[in-house]
Amino acid sequence: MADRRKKISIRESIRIPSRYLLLLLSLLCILLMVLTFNIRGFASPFETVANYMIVPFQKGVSSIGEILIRKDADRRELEEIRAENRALKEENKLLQEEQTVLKEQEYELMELRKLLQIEEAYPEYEMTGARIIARDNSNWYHSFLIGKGENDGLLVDMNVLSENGLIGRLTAVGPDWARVSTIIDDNMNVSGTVLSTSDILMVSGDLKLYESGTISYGHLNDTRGRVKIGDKVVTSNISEKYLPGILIGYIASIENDANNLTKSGELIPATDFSHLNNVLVVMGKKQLPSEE
Amino acid sequence: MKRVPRLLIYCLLFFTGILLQVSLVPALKVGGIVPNVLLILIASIGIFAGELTGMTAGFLSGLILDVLFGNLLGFYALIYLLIGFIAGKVGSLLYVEDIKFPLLFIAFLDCLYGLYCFVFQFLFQNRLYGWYFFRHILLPEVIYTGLFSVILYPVLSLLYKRVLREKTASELAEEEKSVLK
Repeated sequence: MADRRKKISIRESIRIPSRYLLLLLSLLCILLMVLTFNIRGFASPFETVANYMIVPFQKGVSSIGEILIRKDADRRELEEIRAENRALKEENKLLQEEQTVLKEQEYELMELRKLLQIEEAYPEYEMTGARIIARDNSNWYHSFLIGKGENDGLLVDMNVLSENGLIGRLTAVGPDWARVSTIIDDNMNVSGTVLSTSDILMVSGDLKLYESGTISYGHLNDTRGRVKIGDKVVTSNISEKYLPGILIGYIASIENDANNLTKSGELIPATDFSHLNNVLVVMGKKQLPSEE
Repeated sequence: MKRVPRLLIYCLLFFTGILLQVSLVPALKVGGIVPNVLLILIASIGIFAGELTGMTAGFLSGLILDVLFGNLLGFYALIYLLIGFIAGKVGSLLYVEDIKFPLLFIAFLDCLYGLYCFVFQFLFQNRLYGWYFFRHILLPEVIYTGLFSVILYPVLSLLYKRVLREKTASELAEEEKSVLK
């Protein structure tokens, strides 16, 4: 009995009290935050690790489904009564399944053809298609992951488009995945140009406007009042991260700012952000003189 | 029969949780709001298994989320770590079979999570949304997460009692007896 008590007390003493562990891990978190904030590329080894977790994301869900279907089929074979009937039903089902697969492929083909059209619309940029493999879980951000990465030649800050217009840019790239931050994210800003008048404005995502499906813009310097509702807005030549001439959206409202010099309002994005499946990544970055 | 190591089950559980959160949960969107399934998972495990398990689970799953989605490494890890810890502390103090308490508690933790995100990602960028934030983001998310935990909490509770719980000394003695017979 005494022996046992001794054993327990040793175990207790080895165990780190949870409050110290809490302190330790919290400090580690804060340290990590500070390091990632200050050192560029600090997170890249972690991103390589994440690569091994992305592959199951892509394949796991579908393979679980497959296993379930196979088990179901096995059980069917065991039932001998009305075997013939069942076999016929099975065949019928298979044919239907095949049909749905074909339908799906047809749909995909259509979608890819649409993407091809945009590729023709922006012929000067080399692009690659990619599939969305995971979405951000929270109600705060609107970023997602795509199934291509460094191994396919992607780099941070490459622009991402849909068949209709600008989606955003890559903010993190792993070996086989990349994170896309969208222009509707609250802290994303894009410098744009009104196509008809060549006036520069600043497009920024806004948490409040997510629901209405619009994004806001500001700093529009339009003293002559020529910009109209419905005008096209494209990325501007002076944008640091975005290639020029990519469609962002259409102006939905115009209001005078308090300073009476600039105007602001809302913009309807050209891309339907809630129904994205495939995206296009532009395989080239804007050339800028280096900062150093 | 040899028991499957508890650690493996935990890993599997949280991996599934993260996988669900990024792949299937967005399909549950109602009015642009998604429930925070991972938070329910971490809080429930914290309540059942104590603060040490809750903390570790929260920290590791938060870190994975950080690598995938976070702008700052350690941001989600910190909040999920705290949530796991608080859930474990409170759970060990006030463990009750009554289902109402854990559900309200999970909703409260989600509230905490929302406030944390708000303060550090929006307030610090001088984005003072105030009431809009409460009415349109925080409140719906808290309610939805609370409702969702009505389904998830009993399932997790059952799983924990059947598979994960460490056997007490008296139960072990009982088992030994039955084996000897």
